[in-house]
Amino acid sequence: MNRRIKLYIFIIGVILITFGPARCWAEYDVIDITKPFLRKIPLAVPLFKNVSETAEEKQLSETAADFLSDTLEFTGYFKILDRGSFLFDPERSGVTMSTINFQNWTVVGAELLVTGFYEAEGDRISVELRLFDTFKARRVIGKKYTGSKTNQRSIILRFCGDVINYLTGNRGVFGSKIAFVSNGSGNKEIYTCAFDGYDPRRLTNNNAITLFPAWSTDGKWMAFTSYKAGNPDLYIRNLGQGQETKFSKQGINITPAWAPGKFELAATLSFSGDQEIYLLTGAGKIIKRLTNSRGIDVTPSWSPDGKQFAFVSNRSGSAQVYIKDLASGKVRRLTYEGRKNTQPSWSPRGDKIAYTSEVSGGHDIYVIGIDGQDPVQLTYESRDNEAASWSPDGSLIAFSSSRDGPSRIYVMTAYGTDQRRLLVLAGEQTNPKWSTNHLNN
Amino acid sequence: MKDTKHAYARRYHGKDPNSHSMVFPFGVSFLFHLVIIAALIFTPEFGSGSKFRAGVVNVSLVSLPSPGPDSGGPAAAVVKPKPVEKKSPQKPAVKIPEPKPEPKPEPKPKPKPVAVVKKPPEAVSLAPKKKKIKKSLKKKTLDREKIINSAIERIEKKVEKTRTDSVAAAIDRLKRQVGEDESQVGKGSGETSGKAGAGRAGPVGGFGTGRARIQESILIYQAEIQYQIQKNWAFSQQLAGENTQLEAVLAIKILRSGEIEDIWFDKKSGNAYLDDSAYKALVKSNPLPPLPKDYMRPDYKIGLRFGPKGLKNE
Amino acid sequence: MQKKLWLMIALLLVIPGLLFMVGCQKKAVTQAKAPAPASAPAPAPAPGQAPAKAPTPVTPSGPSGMIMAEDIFYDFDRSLLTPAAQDNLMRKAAWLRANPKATVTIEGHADERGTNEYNLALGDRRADSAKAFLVDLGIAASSLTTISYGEERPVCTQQNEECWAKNRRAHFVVN
Repeated sequence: MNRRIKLYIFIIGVILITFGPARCWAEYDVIDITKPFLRKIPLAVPLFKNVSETAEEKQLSETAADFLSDTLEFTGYFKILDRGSFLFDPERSGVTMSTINFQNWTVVGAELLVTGFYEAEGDRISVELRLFDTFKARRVIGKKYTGSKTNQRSIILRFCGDVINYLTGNRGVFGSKIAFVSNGSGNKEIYTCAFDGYDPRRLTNNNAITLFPAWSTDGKWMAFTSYKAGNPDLYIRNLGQGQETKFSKQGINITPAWAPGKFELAATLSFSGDQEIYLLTGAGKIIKRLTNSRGIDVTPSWSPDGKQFAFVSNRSGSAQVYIKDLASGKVRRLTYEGRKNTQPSWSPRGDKIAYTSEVSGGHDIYVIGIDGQDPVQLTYESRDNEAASWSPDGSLIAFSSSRDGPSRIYVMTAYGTDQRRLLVLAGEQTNPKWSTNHLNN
Repeated sequence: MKDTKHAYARRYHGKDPNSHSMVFPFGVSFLFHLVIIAALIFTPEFGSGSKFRAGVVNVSLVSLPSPGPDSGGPAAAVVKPKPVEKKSPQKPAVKIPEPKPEPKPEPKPKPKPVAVVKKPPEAVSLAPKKKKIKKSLKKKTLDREKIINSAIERIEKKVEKTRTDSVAAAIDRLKRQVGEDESQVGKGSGETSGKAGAGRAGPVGGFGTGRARIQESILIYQAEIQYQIQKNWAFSQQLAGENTQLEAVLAIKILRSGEIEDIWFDKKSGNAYLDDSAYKALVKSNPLPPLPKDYMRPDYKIGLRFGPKGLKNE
Repeated sequence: MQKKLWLMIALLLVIPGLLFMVGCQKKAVTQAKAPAPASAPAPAPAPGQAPAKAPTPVTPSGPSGMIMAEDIFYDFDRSLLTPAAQDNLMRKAAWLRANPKATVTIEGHADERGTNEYNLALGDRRADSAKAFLVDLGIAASSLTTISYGEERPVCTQQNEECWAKNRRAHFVVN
């Protein structure tokens, strides 16, 4: 009797104890912190410490430090702190772990710190660059780079790649290029420049309308459309050797897009009497037809795994973005908002598609999830903002904008912040296409 | 270098293996309870069943201090879980006597809202007496049990009620004070019972109404520090990846001077970058404003839930 | 209203006229004159051609003359032939029949609104629809080629409807 009662008591006691305090695990209030005041990492890049005090070395060193700041700022991840606010001058004291007082940096708000130790001798330069986490008082990168003076840019870019790799696991955009169309020479031709607009160069000399540059994944080939033979024909050029394969059929041969990692490309051809998307080899042979509907099907953009592509079709009455899955052959419509949606560009991260939407007064760039949810408007300027092209790591978008009058190439973050002009050339620049980050680095 | 590189990448993009979950500690404490209760019930010879006696003894003592949202709030809230988790013999017992010793011997050298360490000695000091009583009452265990259980329930209800009363009073006071301090409290006018200014989620823990006992000055203080910490928080959604549901819960212990004595994680988000940025925001916020004058304790603990919620809300 | 009436008359006259095209040039001239005022509003944005057209009667057997130099125009974002366009094409067909050795390049154009590639496709469709219509009227397909220029070769660059309407055209080049 007693025993059974004890058992009951035991059970009741257990239940009470279990459910009584079950709700509680913290004994203090919790308040919400939801809005970071700064949406970037505060980074300090003080001037480098120089081995000698020659004016020339100082000049080169300062250029290097400035270029490093500018390049990291270009990524949109960092807020570069003003050197005037620094309490600590590595030029005079130390740049290494043991000689830095991290409090000096945390106090001015820096969470990351880059220091440099610079030497220029003859034609050679060597620079030790270090990245510190000031709050953890830890050095996270430390490398010595050497090269000739003319290599200074690529040395700094290599370090920037190391920094971004530390933060994100990939090397960022510093080895990539942007191709675009410019008509400064009197005709639209294709040009290329570095990711930050440095060193723009003319690629084609067709003296005829040339459009739609497309980089192959390995960066060795460029496809484009040109009227140099009197018709909008497709050309596939080997960038190293310069020879071209021509693909010319009656009608239009436009908007080439290389399949990721393959020597194949999709393009819109209308020789059949209708504008459809086809798959071709890099040597210009048709493999198969990819779309099958009356009406316009144009501007293919591959998913990073090459299993699907987005494209524009007016099969439902107005130009909208669709996605086709190669294996199943299924086509689904992606955009339902906006009366005309064109120029899809699939993010290299695979999850989003940027596109151009017609709005009153012009065009704006939107981004939508591949599930079709939540289209977000990224540009709000009047006039035209079009032809979005993602950076290889999916963090930035290049596009063309006529917000200042003539059309120019702009760059912004994937969230639409930090919109800035990339470069200015004679005439108008349009149709940017960002390459992969394969080039050196 | 390569290893570090990948290791850090993994840290940023992988789930934190140490991410906090209450299941494990709860499970452990539950088992511990079972063992102890079993011991208590089935081996009364060892005379550690003092919980019953304590319950009986303290029923009459549980007249919680009248609506003064004194600092007893969080502490009282603590009463239930903490002592239960940590103290061995007197678990349910300890939770009852808590409210009593609290208001009186208040300014002790190291009183914390979670002042578990302090409390048991008091309980223990009562225990010996109770032990004696218990022994004599051993034969009446059955009745004792029932009385204890119903006493527990009654006490809970009473505490609830008292707190409800104090909520109403606190609300009135807050309304007045918050109305004056518009700028500090943000949109806080009329928002009380746990909400001070913009975005405060209210306490997690204790009774639902526990927060009502917090002084309005504390609520205002919370709004101040929320503002200061947000100002010091640098976070790039891009670097954290696309997940806008990330949440890290940290907690700090603030001394009277406003100095932050300790920072720790209650719940990591699984994203090392967010956790780091939250930690740095707290380090940068040191020192916070001094604690309010009418807050009697020597330090104040508070939790902070960092949840960026993406840029769309901007 | 009047336009419609004129069009109906024109059609009534033209169709039998086509049937007797070979021997009845005079009749063709008369018929060509009749619809002229009706189709005037459509090609109005091409002032260069209008005055030249009205006073001078079109001579089907003449040099690749006025009729072939006239552009036809399209509605926004459309490649359908408007009645005025069809009308014009019928007159072109008459000339082509009279000049069977002539070959023609039909250029499709679009206004600058919309994106390049889409406009290239649109120009393509416009040129194709004009060609198809002529082929239906009996012109040999082999004598007609099409090319699209999209928005790449505008005749004007103002940002207004008047200019845009001028650019939405098919242009005919006799080789």
